[in-house]
Amino acid sequence: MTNNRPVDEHDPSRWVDEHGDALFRFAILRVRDPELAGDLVQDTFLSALKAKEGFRGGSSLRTWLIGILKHKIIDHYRKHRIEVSASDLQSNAEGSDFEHADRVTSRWSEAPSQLVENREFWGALTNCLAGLPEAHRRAFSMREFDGLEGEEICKVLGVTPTNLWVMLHRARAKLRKCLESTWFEV
Amino acid sequence: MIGCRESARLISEQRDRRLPWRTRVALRLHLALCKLCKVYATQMAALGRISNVAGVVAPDRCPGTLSEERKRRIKEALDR
Repeated sequence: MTNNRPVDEHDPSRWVDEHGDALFRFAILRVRDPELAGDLVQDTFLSALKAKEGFRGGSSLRTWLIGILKHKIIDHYRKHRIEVSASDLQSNAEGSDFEHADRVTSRWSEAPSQLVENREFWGALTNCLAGLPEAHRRAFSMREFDGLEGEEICKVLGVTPTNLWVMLHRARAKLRKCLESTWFEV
Repeated sequence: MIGCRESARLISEQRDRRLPWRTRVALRLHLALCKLCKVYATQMAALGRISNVAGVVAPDRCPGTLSEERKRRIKEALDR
């Protein structure tokens, strides 16, 4: 037996240094505004402190904290709803974002696990996300980053399924076009 | 026959719901004939895969850190 007790990773005074940046990165991809991302991370830690006894260690502490943060972000979307404008819901609006690829660019077939190692790729992705209307960005984020089902996203955003499909189509079309020109064509 | 615009809309929509079979057939037919829409469909699928991975690995890979000021404020709040 030794007296070297393992460091208690569940000690809340260590949480911010060990998990603060990771939570911030999770949030900043989804909400864009650093101040808001910081607020959400802070709320997450405070809720986690209150619910500490509920953490049973079935998952890692990081996973548990991220689960709380995910709820905070969706709560934020729900409480601060974006009015979806008529033009947000037109699938064939003038100057629509749909454009064919005009040629085959091979970088699209790079393995995602390779792409995410590249810092410039993240720059392109976050820039392109910033170019989306807020409502489209939220829809895309919940669907493609978090893998939520359409029904749940409709409830959060307060839109019909038909509206959601249009919003997702326009978000994907615009992102495709933006990534093609800022990243995949480099 | 559906056109390219309609095809693009359906390529996205089929990621979110099961399309009626007539629509699926129409889309498949269009994709068999239109090389650029086929490329578009491939890129949409890639965008989906890339986003799924990005969403999961963001805590480790997405650039950005909490400011020192914010860390200090959170620690104070936790201590209260």
